[in-house]
Amino acid sequence: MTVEHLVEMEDLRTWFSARSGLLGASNKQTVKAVDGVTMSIRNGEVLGLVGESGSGKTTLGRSILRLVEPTSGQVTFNGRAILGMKKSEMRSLRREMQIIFQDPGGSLDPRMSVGEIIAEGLQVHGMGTRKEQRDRVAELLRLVDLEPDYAVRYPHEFSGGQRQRIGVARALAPKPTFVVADEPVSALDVSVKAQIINLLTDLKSRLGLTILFISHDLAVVQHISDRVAVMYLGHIMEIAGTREFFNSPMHPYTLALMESIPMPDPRTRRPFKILEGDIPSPINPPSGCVFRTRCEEATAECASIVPGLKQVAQDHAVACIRR
Amino acid sequence: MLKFIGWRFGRALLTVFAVLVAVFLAARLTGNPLDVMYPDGLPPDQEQRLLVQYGLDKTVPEQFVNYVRDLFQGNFGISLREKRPVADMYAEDIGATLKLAGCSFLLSVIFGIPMGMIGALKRRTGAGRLVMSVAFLGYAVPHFIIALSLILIFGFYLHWLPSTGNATIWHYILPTITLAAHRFASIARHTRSSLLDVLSQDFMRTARAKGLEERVVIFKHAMRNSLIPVVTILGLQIAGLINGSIIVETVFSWPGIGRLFVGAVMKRDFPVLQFGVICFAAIVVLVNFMVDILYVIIDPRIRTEA
Amino acid sequence: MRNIHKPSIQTEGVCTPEIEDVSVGPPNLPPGASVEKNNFFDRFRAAPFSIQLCILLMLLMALTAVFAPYVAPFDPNQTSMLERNDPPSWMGGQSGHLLGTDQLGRDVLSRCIYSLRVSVGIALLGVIIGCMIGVVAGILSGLLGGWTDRAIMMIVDFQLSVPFMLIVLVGIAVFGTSIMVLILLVGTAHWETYARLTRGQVLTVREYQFVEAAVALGATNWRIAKRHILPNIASPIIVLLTLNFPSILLLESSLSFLGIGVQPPTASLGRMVGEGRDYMMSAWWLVISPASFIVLLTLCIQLIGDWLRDVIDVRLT
Repeated sequence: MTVEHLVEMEDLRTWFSARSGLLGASNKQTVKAVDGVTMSIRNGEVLGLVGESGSGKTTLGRSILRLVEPTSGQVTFNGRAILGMKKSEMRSLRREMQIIFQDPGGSLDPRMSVGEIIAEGLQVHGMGTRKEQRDRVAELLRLVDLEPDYAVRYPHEFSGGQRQRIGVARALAPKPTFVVADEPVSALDVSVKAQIINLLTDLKSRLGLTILFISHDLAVVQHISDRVAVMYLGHIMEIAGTREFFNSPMHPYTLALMESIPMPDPRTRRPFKILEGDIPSPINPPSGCVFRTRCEEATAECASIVPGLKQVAQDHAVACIRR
Repeated sequence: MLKFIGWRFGRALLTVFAVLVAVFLAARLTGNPLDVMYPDGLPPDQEQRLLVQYGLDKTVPEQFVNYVRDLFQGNFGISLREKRPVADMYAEDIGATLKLAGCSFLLSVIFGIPMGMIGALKRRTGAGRLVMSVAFLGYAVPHFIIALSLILIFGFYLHWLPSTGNATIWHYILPTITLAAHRFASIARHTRSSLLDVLSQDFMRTARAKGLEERVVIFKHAMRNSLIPVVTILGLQIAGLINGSIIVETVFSWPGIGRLFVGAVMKRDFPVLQFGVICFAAIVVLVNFMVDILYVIIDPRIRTEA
Repeated sequence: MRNIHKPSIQTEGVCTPEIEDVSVGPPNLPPGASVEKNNFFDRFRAAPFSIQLCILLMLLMALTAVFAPYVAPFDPNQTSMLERNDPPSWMGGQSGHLLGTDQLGRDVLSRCIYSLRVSVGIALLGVIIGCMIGVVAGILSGLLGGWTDRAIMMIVDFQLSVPFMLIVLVGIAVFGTSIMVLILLVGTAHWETYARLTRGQVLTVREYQFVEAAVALGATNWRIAKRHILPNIASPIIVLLTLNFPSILLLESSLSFLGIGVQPPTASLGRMVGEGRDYMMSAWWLVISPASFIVLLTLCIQLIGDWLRDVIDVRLT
């Protein structure tokens, strides 16, 4: 029963209400963290999701898993609409969709042993007897290149990289088909980063996982992804196959992002200006194209037309009226 | 600001209303008040007449409406035992309670705040430790034991001070000290921790770095900032004062409303209890409401956060 | 779980690979959490002498209370008209009672020991009841939020704004003075402190990612409360429990002292003081002995509680 698209998002919006101002509740404001995302993740692929801080990429990842409640739209997982699903139904579905967190320390309960942490998913879904669960924990620890006897230790006894491996093992314990990796390596130092990336790549091919890989680091995304999507202020700006994406980026924002990757050779000339200023507040996003305030190519038209994603090449879509 | 006051006032009213409901329900849980008034029972016709007279033949919600209406008309009920208006009973006794509570409160503030300061500023010296030990004792020893100790020492053995009633100014000394002991301890402890908090903050270092005299640093910068939390504590003291005066008045046979209340508990005189609870609750709510306002005036940072 | 992830300020750069190593060092722990699995004896040895003394005294009193029938030298209710108000034996008492006898000739020491049992028992049960009510209310409030939260917090406000003594006194007037009623009434004292503390802690712990991880695994709210939140908020609650114990004990003894707490023939420390008060002039030991027990007990626990609070470093406001 393989489907072509494991996860489909349709006009997904996640808005938060934020209170601000001295007068308290009187002026409620809405943060449009995710604002109309339509996109799908293919079965067995790694989709890289890149964007700056505040672009809404983390919220999008959590919305798919319903760790935050989306405001409107629909998410379909393996052919089943998950928004509006009953709580109990959702809980059992969680076995199939997991998440790896950015902060490997904070995401492990300091009061639980590594074994308990990894086995929690098995217990929640009643998978196996106690003995089988113990065996499975050992198997998972080996899978992420840790010693099986680490199971009796506590998270604080491990380094950041090891903790992240524990986080990966916990996510994989209930044998999920889909994993959201939310900046899994950005809290780690460079050498450890590479190890974890390699581990994920390896696991993906061995276990046939579908991964949404969220990162702000284009180099990492290039390494691991089959396709790449760029997000800015709650909108998907460009989505393309990895090779296509890095060879012929189209969106002005993508081009700006590419420029901010440090070049190995400092004498290399940069054809474009580097991205200036901060991302605008998602409380009051610009009208029309949300990127126009920082876009070098913006015209008057950009303020009025909201660009939708349009196909520009095989497996390449861009949301820009000038392309 | 106005909105904040309005919000707080609304909440205060709501609390008083909740107290009303709770008290009313509690009183009704005891069953028929006539059983308390006439423990030996009544002839049926007379009982029926009394039920109608007291409005007890109505449904409970109706009784509640009548009860609240009576309250607003200044009709607070009749004591089951003494057969006279409870409001009069409280009016007679409240003066003695207010005098005692007022004296104790003043005493505890006058001693508590400086003692707390000493405790904080001289915390590594014998004086500081001594002060805080005394405060600790005041905190952990119950009122009735302090009261009995004082009576034993100053009343029975030394014969210096009278220990029952409130006839002369000398009668005030022992009850006032007893009632003040807990408050004093609580205020001293809070002043100390609040001042220690402030002393460890950056602007204190800045003030010292500016070359200000230590005295100025402490009185101008530290005190002003450390007293803010103490003010809220003062508001909470009122509840403690009421708790304490119930015991202290009983021990010293002080003719106040605390003793009246305890007497009513023993005699199961519910109208007296009802009115007492409502009065006490209204006082506490009112004081806390005023403290909230005062708090906002003193500390400009916390405005309007409703 | 609602709003578990709020839009937060992240410390990431503009899409550049950055070196940010947070890999070593202790994990982010909830306030009050300590990772070392210290056993009791390690902690005991590290405590100052006064605290060690308090703990030993406490243990002694606890054992005395538990084994009262074996420890008490006399039957606490055995009256003797010939030995009324006899002073302690070391003060020239004739009948050889260590702490003298009361107005009915009963042995004061034995009565104190049995009273200790009653007073500590009531306070212990009361404290546990209050703690359970409060913790459950706090967890519900913090975990469910919304109307549940508002309703519970309103009851908390209500309890805070009515002097607790009044609630207890009205309760006694309504329900009478059986031991069960007394336990339940003193049990409801201070529940709001646990509720507020627990709620605050739940709100903090709830934001930790390991709770979100549990949600992602499909754990129920119940499981999250039991497995993740409770163990992480246990220490401050234990501290609060210790700090509340003396005040519950005092509440019971005050009520018994007034004659509206524990009723005859059961003895409690407060009631002994209350009864002895009438004979205070001639037989001071009737008051001093039980009063000393009360003071010693509350001082010890209060000191232990203060020490625990400093050691575990929680702010309980």
